Amino acid sequence: MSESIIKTKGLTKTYGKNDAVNDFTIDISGERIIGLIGRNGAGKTTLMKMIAGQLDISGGELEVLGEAPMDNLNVLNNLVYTYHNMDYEKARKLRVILESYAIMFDDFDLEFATKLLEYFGLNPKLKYKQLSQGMASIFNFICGISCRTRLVMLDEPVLGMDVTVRRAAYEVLLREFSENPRLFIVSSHLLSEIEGILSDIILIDNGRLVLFDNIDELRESAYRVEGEKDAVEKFTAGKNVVYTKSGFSAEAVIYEPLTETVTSEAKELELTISTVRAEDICIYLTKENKEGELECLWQKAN
Amino acid sequence: MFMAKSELINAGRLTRTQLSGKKLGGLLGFFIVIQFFFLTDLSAALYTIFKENDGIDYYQFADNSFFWIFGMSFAFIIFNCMYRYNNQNFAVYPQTNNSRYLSFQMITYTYLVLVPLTLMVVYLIQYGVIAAIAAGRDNVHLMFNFDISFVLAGFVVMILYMAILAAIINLISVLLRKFKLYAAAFFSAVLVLGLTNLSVAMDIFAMLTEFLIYENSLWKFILKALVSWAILFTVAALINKYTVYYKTRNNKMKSERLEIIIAIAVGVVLAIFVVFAVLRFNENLYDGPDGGAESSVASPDNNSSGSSYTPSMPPQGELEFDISHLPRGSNITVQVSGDVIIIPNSDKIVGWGNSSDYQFLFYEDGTEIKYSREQMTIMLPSELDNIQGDTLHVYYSNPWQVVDNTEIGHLVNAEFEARFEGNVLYIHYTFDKNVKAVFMPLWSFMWQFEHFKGKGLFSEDVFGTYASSSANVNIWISDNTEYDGPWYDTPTPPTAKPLP
Repeated sequence: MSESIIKTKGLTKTYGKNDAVNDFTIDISGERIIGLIGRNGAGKTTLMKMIAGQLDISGGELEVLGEAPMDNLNVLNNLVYTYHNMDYEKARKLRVILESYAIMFDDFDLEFATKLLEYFGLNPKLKYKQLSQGMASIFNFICGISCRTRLVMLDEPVLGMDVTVRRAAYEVLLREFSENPRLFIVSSHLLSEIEGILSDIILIDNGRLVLFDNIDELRESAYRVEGEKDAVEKFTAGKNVVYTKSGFSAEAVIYEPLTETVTSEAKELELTISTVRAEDICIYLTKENKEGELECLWQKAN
Repeated sequence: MFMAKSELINAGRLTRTQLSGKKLGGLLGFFIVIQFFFLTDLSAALYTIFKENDGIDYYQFADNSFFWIFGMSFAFIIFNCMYRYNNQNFAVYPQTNNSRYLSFQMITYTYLVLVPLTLMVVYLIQYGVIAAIAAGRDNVHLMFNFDISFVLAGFVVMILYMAILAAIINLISVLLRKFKLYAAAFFSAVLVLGLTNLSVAMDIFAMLTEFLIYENSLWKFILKALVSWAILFTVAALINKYTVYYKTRNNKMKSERLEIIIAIAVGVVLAIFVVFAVLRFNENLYDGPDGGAESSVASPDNNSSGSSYTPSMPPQGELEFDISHLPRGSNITVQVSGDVIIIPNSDKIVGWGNSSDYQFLFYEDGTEIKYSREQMTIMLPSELDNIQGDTLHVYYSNPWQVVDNTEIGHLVNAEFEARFEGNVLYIHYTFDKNVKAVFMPLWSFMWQFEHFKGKGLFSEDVFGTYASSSANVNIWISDNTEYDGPWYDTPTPPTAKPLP
């Protein structure tokens, strides 16, 4: 078994009475691209900042590369954490910022970064404050990906990028991973876009770990059934249902592996079985039960 | 003790990173300000040097060392207030609490050394330019001597003064970061107590400062200052080492704002206290422990600068001529030549005035006489009639001008001559015109060191003494000082008759 790169046990971060990360236990090793998926405010950024040694932990254990990351250069020299709207001195030129990375990180590839600037059409003489949100995202993505550290964490890296640039960024990320394999953690609340490049997924909700799984296994971890309402209700009884919908017909998503027995049972009840997209599984697993709440928004008070 | 070798290397890299972007920003602005002072000063000095005048003219270069000491104190306060904000901008890079703090100190002390270094370089350039001009022109005089050991010693002393101020400000800042509202409350209380008992607070502050750094001996000062700085720096570093705060700012902006307000208030009060402490030291130097320095403005009649360094009174002389051979009631004719201005009809003068170069007399008929301080004035009848005495006394004063405690009147080489032949008194007076005196002070704070005193290196009174009197001549006759005779009856001085 390869050495753990990130290992947590009951990791907690609290702000006052609020738990941003709660009892989070995980063990990540190897070279792969992991998606850190969660809704807004799920605790993705807090988790990454703690891993990057930028926030102290409130409880539990956290080891990165075998040591606590906070104030530890053995760890911090081997990881980079960037996000879409990094704070740099606004008047700094992009070239100067890249040179700063090269000073601070032994593993920073300045030549590669400069080529990426050109590839994405960014002028190195531009000042950081002159960048639009999309351009800033590209630039921060370039800074992060050009660090050949053992751990690269990209927090919402494509925010503000147009679809063409987003696709180009994912292509670059995938190619860079194949050329220089290491552990990438890419956070996003939109799994559908990055699903294609991920090998694993960490799903976080309300600061808690919901799942940490291989992306292919995740896709096979749930299935959808559709048919007559009574048949669906009969079929789902006793199963781990994460989503239901009823109208003229009914449908349900069951968070369990699809087996031959289940397939036969569905066939007997004349139900249709289909796969569920990984993103939908994540949505169903993190969505609070608000059935009926939407309808009440338009109801008049008596 | 404080950090590992890897942290030292990291701090060095972080410093390089933080300074790299400031090449064209802060540093350029900083140097533009200094160059502005430099160019303005040098231009004004050259204008004074090359402007023709009838007497002596002087130019005082500004010594900005005090200005920069206080200016940089406020810069240090702002640096400290922006500590966390600045960290946010560099949070992406690997660092530790210690290396981040050390890097901040390195940047602070880089600027700290840069200021006196720039002042010294500017001084050396300015001195070189003026000295080169003075070498080619006899009329230009540099009033303060050049001594490289003084220049270098002052450079070190200024660094130490600023380092101690930086360390004090840093310590306050670290305490505020560590203890937050508790420290803010403590410093607020100290401020309020200090301001409501100002004299007591200043006494305590002056005593403390005197104990810490004030010293007549340069070497003892350096030792005291270094020890004081090391203690302050170490205490702050230790507190910082055990303070957990993050590279990224959190949302506790209210306390941060409060820290900034407190830090600025403490800084302002500190600066005021330092100014008063400096003045107090100065008083103690010259007037003993009771202080009580009098007015620094001196005049020939009321020369009361209160400073033991006040130069002597105007150079005066008296010539005696035996006139006993003249019969009683005879007349003496006065003939003047050279740079003598006769002031006629003194009883009709209604006012006087002066500018930097000239003095003026105003008559009741609206006419005026203008003369330079160096020209000799004589206020007498054209003939002394009905002489009753046996001895003719001729009293004269050469021009005298004290600027910044230095007498510059002697630079005009005034020569007075009087002769009595027959019944004629011949008076002749000349001086060099268009003389320039240039004062180029450096490190004003160096008056505290005995070693450099009395060597003409700087003004030895922080207040500066300014005084002047014009050249003039008076004639008296002993035994019976009666004489009368026709006064010059026109405001315009008559053409001087040359000596035979």
